[in-house]
Amino acid sequence: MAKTKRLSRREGSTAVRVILAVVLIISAFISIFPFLYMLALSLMETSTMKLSWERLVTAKYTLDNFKMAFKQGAFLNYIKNSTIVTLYAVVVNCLVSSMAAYAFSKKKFFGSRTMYTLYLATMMVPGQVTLIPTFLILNKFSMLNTYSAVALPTCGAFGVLLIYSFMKQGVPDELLEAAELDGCSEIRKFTRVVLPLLKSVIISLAIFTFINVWGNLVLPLVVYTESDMTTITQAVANMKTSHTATKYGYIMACNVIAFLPPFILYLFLQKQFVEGIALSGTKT
Amino acid sequence: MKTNINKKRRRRNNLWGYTFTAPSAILLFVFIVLPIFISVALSLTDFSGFNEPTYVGFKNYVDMFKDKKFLASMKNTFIYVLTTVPLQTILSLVVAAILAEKFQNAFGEFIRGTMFIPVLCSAVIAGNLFFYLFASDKNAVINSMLMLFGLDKVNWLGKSDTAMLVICMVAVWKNVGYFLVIFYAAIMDVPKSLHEAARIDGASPMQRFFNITMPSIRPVLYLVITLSTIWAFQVFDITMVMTKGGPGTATMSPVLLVYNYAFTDHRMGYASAIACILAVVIFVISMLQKLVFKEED
Repeated sequence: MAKTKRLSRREGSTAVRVILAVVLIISAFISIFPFLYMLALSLMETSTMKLSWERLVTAKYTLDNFKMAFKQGAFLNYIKNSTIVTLYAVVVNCLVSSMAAYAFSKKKFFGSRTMYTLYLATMMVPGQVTLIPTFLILNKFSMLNTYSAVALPTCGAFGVLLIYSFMKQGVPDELLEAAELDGCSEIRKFTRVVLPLLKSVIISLAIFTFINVWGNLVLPLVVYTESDMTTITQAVANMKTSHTATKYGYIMACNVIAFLPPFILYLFLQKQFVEGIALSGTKT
Repeated sequence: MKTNINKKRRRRNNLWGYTFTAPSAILLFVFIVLPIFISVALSLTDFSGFNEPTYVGFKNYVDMFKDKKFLASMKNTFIYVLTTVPLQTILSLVVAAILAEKFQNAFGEFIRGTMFIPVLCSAVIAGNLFFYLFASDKNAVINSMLMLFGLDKVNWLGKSDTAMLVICMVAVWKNVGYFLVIFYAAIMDVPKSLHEAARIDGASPMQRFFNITMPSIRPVLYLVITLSTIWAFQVFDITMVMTKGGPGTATMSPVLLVYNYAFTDHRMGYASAIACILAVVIFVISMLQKLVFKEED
């Protein structure tokens, strides 16, 4: 009696497991379905937004949509702009943030507490409050339509707080003291001891920054008044209303291209990325 | 003598501290701190972006409450918050709990990895994709599915109520993977011994979830709710790409409104006032949430 009861409970738990697995698979499918749709349409010849089993089987597959995108000088320029401004922001943000986080964590200089609190407070400031003044300030410095106009405002407190939360355990004080006894200069200490230890969290920040800047719409819209600065995200945002509006395959191909860089980055650095989000969620 | 050396050391330490913080602090000052003050100052003026700002007192703040577009955008935001925040919090929490309880294996990792993909794409791409999926055309994916079941096609983005619904769905679809990762990490941080002890006492998975997991991840729950509320107030890309705030003002979001007023209508003073009010509202809501979470402790 007892035996059958235990057995049936185990069977029940297997059934629950299967049901849960099916639910999870369905939600995962919903998560990627729009991307599958995008990919399928981008590889098809005809111009309709329809997607059916029948179409998947009978459609002619081609790379023409992608070729059409890359044939245009403007499109290559969008990719160039996005790449430059994104890498620029990544480098500056990682460098500047790790420097500041290092000072806050290990220097304990006069006023560092107050400053750190101020950094924390700026996290509460919503982006729309700074949007108009950012435009005016950049205009004053004649910096509209420069890569700096998008890259520099991105370097907020987030990176500093993220690296700071990692610094306590990630960079032991003993190591710094040892380096000091060896006669390391401050700069050497930072570049040779601190930065290598911060590698994983810096990679996390780099991915965050990359995805943020690459996909940013509002800032480029505001600070790029000339069309030759247009980023790929801006370009892709405008396509539905331009003359290419019904070339669905072509539009999807452009979306695929805009999606690929963050996606590829994720494929390679998945672990750091997930760790970075977990860190930002649990520690700050 | 010794104190002299100490003093020198401290001064050196301070100097390097400032040097290392300076680049970041300057950027933070120029692009966040200074803009806050400018925003507040501008909000009290009439300023087109070209003229000299003229002081008008609190006129902009008074006008706001007679502005149908602004009121609509605030109403939309509250609908949006009330829809997306509970949905994405509960969905991501439930999935994270199921994964941590039953699927700490390759399958679970695959599910997490897959559900994270929407986080990678920009809101612009997400908006684009759902724009076509939910197009009014009978060939669009969602409508053709409806018609397969013998239902009528729906003009999703052309009608007020469904347009808002679609926009909320896009946000939930895009954010769940992010919060899933946060919740999953938090749940995995809960000491295993607690669960073991409860299991021996015969607690069901449900009981363990509500009595052990939930209390342990409170701070993370607070973070997720606050974060998704703040994000809800900052919707821009999705509405810009999918509906431009329409039909009418049905999906107008406050940030889109700020953008339109400042850079299309050249009413920067008025737009600044809206931005400031938004900041205050966001601040108050985060504080209230903090209070609620503190109270229950």
